Amino acid sequence: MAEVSNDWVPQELDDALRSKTMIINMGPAHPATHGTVRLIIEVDGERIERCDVDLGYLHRGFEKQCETVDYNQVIPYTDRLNYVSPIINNVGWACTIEQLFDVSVPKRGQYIRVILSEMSRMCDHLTCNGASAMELGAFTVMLYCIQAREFLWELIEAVTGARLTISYVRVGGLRDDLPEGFKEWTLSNLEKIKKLLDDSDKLLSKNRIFIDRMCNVGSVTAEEAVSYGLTGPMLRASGVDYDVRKAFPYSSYEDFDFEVPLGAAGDNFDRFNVRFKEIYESIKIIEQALKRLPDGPINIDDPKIIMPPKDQVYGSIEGMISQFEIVFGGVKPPKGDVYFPVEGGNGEVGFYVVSDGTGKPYRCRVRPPSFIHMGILGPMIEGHMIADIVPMFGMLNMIGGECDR
Amino acid sequence: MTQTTTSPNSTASSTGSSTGSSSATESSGTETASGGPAPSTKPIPAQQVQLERDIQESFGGKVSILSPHAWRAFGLTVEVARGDALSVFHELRSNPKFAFDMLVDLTCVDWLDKREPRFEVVYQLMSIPNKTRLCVKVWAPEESPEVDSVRPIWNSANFLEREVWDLFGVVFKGHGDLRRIMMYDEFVGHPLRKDYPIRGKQPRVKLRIPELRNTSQDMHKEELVSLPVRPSASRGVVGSSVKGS
Repeated sequence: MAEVSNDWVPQELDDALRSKTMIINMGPAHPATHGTVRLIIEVDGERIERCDVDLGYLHRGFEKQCETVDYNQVIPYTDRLNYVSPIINNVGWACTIEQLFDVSVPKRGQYIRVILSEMSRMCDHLTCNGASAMELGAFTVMLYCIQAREFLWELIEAVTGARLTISYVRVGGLRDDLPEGFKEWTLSNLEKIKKLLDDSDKLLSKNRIFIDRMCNVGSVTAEEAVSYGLTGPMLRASGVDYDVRKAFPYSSYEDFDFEVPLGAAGDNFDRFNVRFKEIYESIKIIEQALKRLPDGPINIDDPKIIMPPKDQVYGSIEGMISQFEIVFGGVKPPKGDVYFPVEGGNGEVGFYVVSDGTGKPYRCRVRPPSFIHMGILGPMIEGHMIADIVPMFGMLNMIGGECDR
Repeated sequence: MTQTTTSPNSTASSTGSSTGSSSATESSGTETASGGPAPSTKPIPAQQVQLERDIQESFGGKVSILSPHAWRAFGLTVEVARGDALSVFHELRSNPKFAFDMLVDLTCVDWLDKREPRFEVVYQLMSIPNKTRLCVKVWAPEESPEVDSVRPIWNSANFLEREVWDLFGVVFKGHGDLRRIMMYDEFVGHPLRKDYPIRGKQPRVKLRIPELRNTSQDMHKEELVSLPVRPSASRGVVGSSVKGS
């Protein structure tokens, strides 16, 4: 896509140097591509003439499996979609089913969802940026980013009891409330993360090698980005101001004051910077949410949607009946279909669910941002060097679990 | 049910689609009668109300608006006959009034033995300048599961249509490169169809002859390396190395 003229090479010399193209195979298990994907690349010397992307190595039938279990049992499966930011997938699924019921969670539940979603987004961006920097030789940045992620995972572990596959959100609320002292702990950890981010920034933002490898590589114009369906940091790096949290706010995102960082050139450096700035915006959102965290219930008060508290289950016949109903029959949304998007770490994560009135979804579709981003990898990579594949792939941030489902 | 009548659909070029529209309408009608989704309590944004009006004005009988509250918070769902779909999509993309510049998602629902045209192809469109969303449904019957490809309109349709073809067996006419994307080439059937068993077993795949092996023997075969250099590919190095010097 990036057409840089190279007229200083005489035509006859270029023709003489140009020989047969060679087809090389990269992947499906390549040490420098985090994610199982196979690239079939036709190269002319070091230059890529054509690239075909072969997906599906991690396909495990998420959508088919979801048709066999009830709505709350899908939540552990959604953890495995984008396993770097599982809470966002949980929230997306729960919001979709709540949209089918046409209910919304109390404010406290929404705020806790926002806090944990933003922590997940920070984890996602830290992992992506850290790994990409490491692939270009900046190993220290990777260590700093992983340390920062560790501070977040401590908090997530304290809330949910797990670090990776957390299954914390429920249809109609949350599993538990925040633990004691969460606010102070979070604020102190955020300060530590800010320091680590500043250190990473000092190492990279004026680093000649890093900038040379990232600038003007993989440029995508705004029109191309929109036409290829890019969302999230990939789209915003091209200068298109679209963020689900701003355009179609969900879960009380309209209450918070944050900015949407935009890039201009749409190259890898812009993508890196957009992700980097979004981490700071997420910190802002978390601080605001903690400051204004309202008291009150976290769950919907509807025994048809969420399990009653245990004292009611053991103490009253109604509580026991509703517990029994939800465990054996599942929640039963009304007939209809709904598409609900949330802003994931990589872009718009959308769930399209068709309900036929029973306890199991008739059809469940997830709109995976990674899968759609892979559609532009082939056209984007053409004309670049083999060495550019790794940073480009790193900035696409393909997550295999989400891409192949 | 606030819904336009199905009579405009009788003008549809494809008979299969026109019956599809009417049966879908009937079923959604019964839903409401049996206490299905009521109009949402959430407010509908002004641009979505405007979109509904614009669609009724511009397309008239071609497009029938299903329940305006099917997505309730910010969505509008419409149904298009199979023959009209491509022209409607062109209009939705190119008319600045709609400006649906992004195909967000494309999927399919298999209504085996539940509704008459079996496949419901669902397009999720979004307009970034207008901040509107639209869900378009096109129906395809079992005997000819094919719809027109929208790849010429939106580039994201390339992978999405390949996926729907792979998992549902719906053919997208004019796509040009309809290969399997999730499954392997030898896979039998389409796994997300309702008649594909959950624990279905596939026949064993014979040893494949590697088509793109890069060994020294293969390098001498003329047909492997005779692909012409495409004129569109840029000649010369890219900016990264030029910039540094």
